[in-house]
Amino acid sequence: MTGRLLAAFGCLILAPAFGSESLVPRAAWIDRDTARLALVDTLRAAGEMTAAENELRAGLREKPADTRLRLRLADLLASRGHAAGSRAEFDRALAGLPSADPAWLAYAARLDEWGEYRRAEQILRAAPSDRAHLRLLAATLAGAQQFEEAAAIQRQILLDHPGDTATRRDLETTLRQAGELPRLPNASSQAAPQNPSEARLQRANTLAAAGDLPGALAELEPLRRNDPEFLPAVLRRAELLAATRQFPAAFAELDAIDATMPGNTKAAFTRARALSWNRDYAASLAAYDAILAENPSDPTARLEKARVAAWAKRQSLSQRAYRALWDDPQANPRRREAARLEARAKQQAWDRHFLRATRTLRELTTLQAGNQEAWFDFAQSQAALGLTDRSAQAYDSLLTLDPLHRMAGVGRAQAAINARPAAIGSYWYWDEKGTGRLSDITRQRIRAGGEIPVDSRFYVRAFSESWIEQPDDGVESFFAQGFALEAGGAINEWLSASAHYAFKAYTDPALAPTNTGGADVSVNLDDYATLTLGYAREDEIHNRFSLFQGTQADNFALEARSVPLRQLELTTKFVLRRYTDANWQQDVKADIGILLLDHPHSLKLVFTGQYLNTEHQSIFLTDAAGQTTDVIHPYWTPRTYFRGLIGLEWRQDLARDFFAGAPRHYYGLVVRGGTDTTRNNSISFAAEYLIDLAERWTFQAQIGVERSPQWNGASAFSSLSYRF
Amino acid sequence: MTPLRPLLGFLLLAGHALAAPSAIDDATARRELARALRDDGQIASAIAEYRKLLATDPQDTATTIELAEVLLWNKEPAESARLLATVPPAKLGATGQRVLGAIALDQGKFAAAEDHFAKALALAPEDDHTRFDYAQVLTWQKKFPAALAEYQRLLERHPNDIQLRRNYAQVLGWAGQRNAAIEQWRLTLTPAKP
Repeated sequence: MTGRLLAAFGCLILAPAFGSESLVPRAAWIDRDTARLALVDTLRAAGEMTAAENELRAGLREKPADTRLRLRLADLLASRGHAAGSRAEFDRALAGLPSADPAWLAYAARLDEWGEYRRAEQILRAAPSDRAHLRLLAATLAGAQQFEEAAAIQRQILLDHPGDTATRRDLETTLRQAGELPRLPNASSQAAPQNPSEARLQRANTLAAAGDLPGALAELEPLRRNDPEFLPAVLRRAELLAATRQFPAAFAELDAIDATMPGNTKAAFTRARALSWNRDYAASLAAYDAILAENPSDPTARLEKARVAAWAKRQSLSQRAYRALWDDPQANPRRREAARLEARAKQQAWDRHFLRATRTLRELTTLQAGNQEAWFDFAQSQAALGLTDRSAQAYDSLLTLDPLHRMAGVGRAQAAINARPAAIGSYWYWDEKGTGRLSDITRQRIRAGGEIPVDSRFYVRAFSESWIEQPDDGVESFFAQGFALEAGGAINEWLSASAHYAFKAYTDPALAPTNTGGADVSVNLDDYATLTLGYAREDEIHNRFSLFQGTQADNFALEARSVPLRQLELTTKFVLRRYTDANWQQDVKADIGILLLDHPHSLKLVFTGQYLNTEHQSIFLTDAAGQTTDVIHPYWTPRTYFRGLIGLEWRQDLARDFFAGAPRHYYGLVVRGGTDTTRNNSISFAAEYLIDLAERWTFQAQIGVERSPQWNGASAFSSLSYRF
Repeated sequence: MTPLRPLLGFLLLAGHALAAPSAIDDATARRELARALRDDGQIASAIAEYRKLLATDPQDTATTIELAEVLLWNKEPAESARLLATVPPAKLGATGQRVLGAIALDQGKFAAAEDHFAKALALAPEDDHTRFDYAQVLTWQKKFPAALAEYQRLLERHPNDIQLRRNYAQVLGWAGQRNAAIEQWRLTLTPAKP
């Protein structure tokens, strides 16, 4: 007789073997199913996934109803990233199991991995509210970018279990993802890869996190052939393709996912986002509507839909989508408040009230430090206010939150380039004839110089200038040389100023050198209006006589500009002009601009009215032959003159990106027609083209022509600049 | 296991009491009865018979060892150990060492258990049950090469013992010999009988 070890680890006692057919005591027996599972585990540990899968399938052929085997098969398929097969096995194994069964938790965790956030959330909300389920629910919500909701659950768990370090780490991760806490450099939360495909995916993620998106895509490329069912890689590849603007390929990947995993939340979001990045806003909004049809309360879909509607210039739809979020009493209170602020900021920016938008966005970024949209809009508002240094800082904050934010990267890079000195060359041409002989000159100016930005938002410019002035149909040319200095910038959000000075010396000693210059200051009155007060001394050279008399004028100007609505722009300018020959002129001009079509194909209808009144009119001095020998007040001197114009301004933005700071590319066309109190009907045409090339070059060209019975004019301007 | 054995022991004892003196003495008959009861799983009755024997002859080391073993089965390791302490080490024999090994295991003293099992096997190398226990205690101490050697020795003698092979496969897995483990697991998973 011999004793046996009653085999249960740690519980050892001798026991008799009564009638045993094995040397091993019954307590240490391993049944067939357990042996099969042990074999499967060993095969998985050895990386022989296919053999493990075959073993499980063999077991299921023997025992089709064995839930344990089927769950293990589902888990194995999931670990291989074969989501469709795994989901089918999970669904079959879990049918009939109570919602409290731990297998549901495992299934929800896998659904979370596959980006099936909605389904995972449904399972977890139906499960008991124990800590494990709540932790996973929070992770699922964070995966769906519902950070506010996730953090609320994690905080609640910590209230009930203050010592729960795992949940504390989860909360920290959520807050980092939400941008509420700074991201950790080189932090990696990736678990050890379970298979070669996962290892490859992890390498791709590491490359993507470092900003090497093409490298990440190249890393994933072999999986397309070797393991096409590996869903996490397919999802990631779709995201990367969209982020690198390879939209057809991205949509092909997403179509493939839809074919095998219809209703995948992550794929649906990726599609909606990619469509918006591709500026297919209508399709993007439809994609968000499809997500919301599945889950009407999805706060991420609601928020992103509101944003895309704003990008699509569908402002009322955008505001309605925001309102649906902040009016929902079930929504997270912090998210509701953030939605309210974001909607307000969008509306203010839409109405071009950037000062107010700045205040709102400051409030919003205080509430939600990780709100990338708010940081981006803040950068835009700051740029619109001329505070390009603060715009760059906002881009920096955004890039801290998301190093892959493409537009922030572009804006920041362009801001860095714009902060560098530039070389500028320009050519200006002006020709006018009419109003008797009072307008009869062609003038050309050639400039070469440079600009030095100061603190990004201020500039100092210096130019060498050459002038050619040809009165009387170019019978005679007068050359001049000189220089010009300019400075200016935004002092703060509501105050900006500029100043300029130019010296010109003619080669003909009969012509005296001239000094011109001026300064102005602009005050933004909380976006109700912007007032500009300025002074400028200008040459009034319109003919041979004014050229030789060296006529100049001091211009005292007050301008008020208001944009009460995005579609309406009002400008009024009053100029009191004091000529150096003891003459005065009042010049009042008002514009009403009505936006008919919005960006990027904007069309504006502009009504202009102008009143001019000159104290003394021109006096022509003639010789005996009736030839004009001189003119007192040799410039146009209308009295109690009114002029009315109506114009259409078309501008098409051809740029790749539509945001302040992005490389610019556009053209504009203007046609105006009008009449005046002298019944002089006029028509004019102007065109403009501008392009930022190869990051550092800017080319700009403008032409203008005006024709009327009494006066004809033509102008041209072109410039080329290079930032070092 | 036959149910006739306790009956036979009882008849021997009864016959001896009623009839004239024979070749089987009382002590022998009681010892057989105790063993029969033990083998039949009637542990409490077996212990009672062993105690009667020891009351008659407290120096009976064989009975002491057998009682110690049965006491261990009855989850009385302290009493078992106390009894074995009265036996001179040289007289413990294979059974005594094995029981001491089991008591050491019960106390979590794996090294001592290993030592006792080794001594038991030195005295009774053919005791495969003790060898299995020995292999297990080696395993629990993560002495995988030694444990695997014991399993291999056992499997040479019991090649068709599926449970033994599954335990062996398990230890191979723990020892990191995945391919060998896979091979052994597969050997135990021949197609199920219909």
